[in-house]
Amino acid sequence: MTDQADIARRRRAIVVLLLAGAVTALFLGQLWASKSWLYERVLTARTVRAIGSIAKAAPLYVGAVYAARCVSQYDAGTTVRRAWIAMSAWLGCFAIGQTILAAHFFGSGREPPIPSIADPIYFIGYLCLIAGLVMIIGAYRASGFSVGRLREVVAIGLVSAAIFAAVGAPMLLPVARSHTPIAERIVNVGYPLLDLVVLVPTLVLLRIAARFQGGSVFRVWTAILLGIVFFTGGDILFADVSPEAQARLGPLVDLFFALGFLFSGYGARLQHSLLTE
Amino acid sequence: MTSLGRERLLAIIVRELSPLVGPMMAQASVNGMCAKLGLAPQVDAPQIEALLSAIEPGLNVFVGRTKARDAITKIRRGLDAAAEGG
Repeated sequence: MTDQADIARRRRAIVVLLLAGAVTALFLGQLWASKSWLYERVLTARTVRAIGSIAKAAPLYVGAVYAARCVSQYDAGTTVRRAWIAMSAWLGCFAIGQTILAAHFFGSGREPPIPSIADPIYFIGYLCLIAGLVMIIGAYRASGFSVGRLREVVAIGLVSAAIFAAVGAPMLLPVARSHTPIAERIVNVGYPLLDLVVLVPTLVLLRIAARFQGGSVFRVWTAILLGIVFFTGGDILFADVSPEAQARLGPLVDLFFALGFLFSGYGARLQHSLLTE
Repeated sequence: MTSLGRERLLAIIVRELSPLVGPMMAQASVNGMCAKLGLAPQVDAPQIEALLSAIEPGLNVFVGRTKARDAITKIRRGLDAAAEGG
């Protein structure tokens, strides 16, 4: 990497850290000091919602564009190329979903319905993410580099899947069997289920990424996987609490989503600079 | 490119790969490929080519076509310089 590219990369990292600090301060302030003058007069709930909507959607759009630009750096027909197409589709679907939710809220002044038109788009995004991560793992394993033994990958996958199934089933089965409308049940069960599924290849990839410490590849996956952990954490937190607690913990959920999308988009940007600079 | 001591060869390759994939991955992967190719302590030109041919497609997966090609070119330059230096 040239000195100039290195300086540019460091500058971008500083900007991302500053943005992460700013959204953290914004949402933690809302969580702990919602009755303060600042949050009653200046950073009203609507203003914070507007800033939050931009903070969530913008990195996703940027990430989708950069992930799409990564595709051309791989040969046609390769697994890794298909994986980056899927990663771009994931970020793009989430960006569109975020935009729909924000447009509904600011257009109608009401919370989006459950389910909303954004939900099938998010679901497609999740499937793209899962497919992308699985294909990346497959491509890395087939590379001939020492990314770890097959049995280790299988063991991490199976153990994490078993733990998530054991934790998720008692939580999600009652929701699935409840008397709420079927579309609402699909949304209520679908997101936590997809989060748990996403976490399985994420953990496998975390283990693989750890072997790249000290290299540019490590930075890419640290950012993307950290992003995934944050937004799945936000999703699980959002799904698993009562409406009262949701109202109380809302800023924390928003923070997790904002950080998750910021780091995910930044990871795609890092991958692009790794491939091209 | 003529023959080169295996340790010297590994050091040159690992030096170029480390900024991309990290020193641990570079060392372990190149060691593994050397073992798979059965490289002798003194590696001749065809064996060096075989090793570079094994590294490039794998590196392609991590850093893309252009960067992988650039890295292999740098390794070749490093190997040429080492061979000339004796």
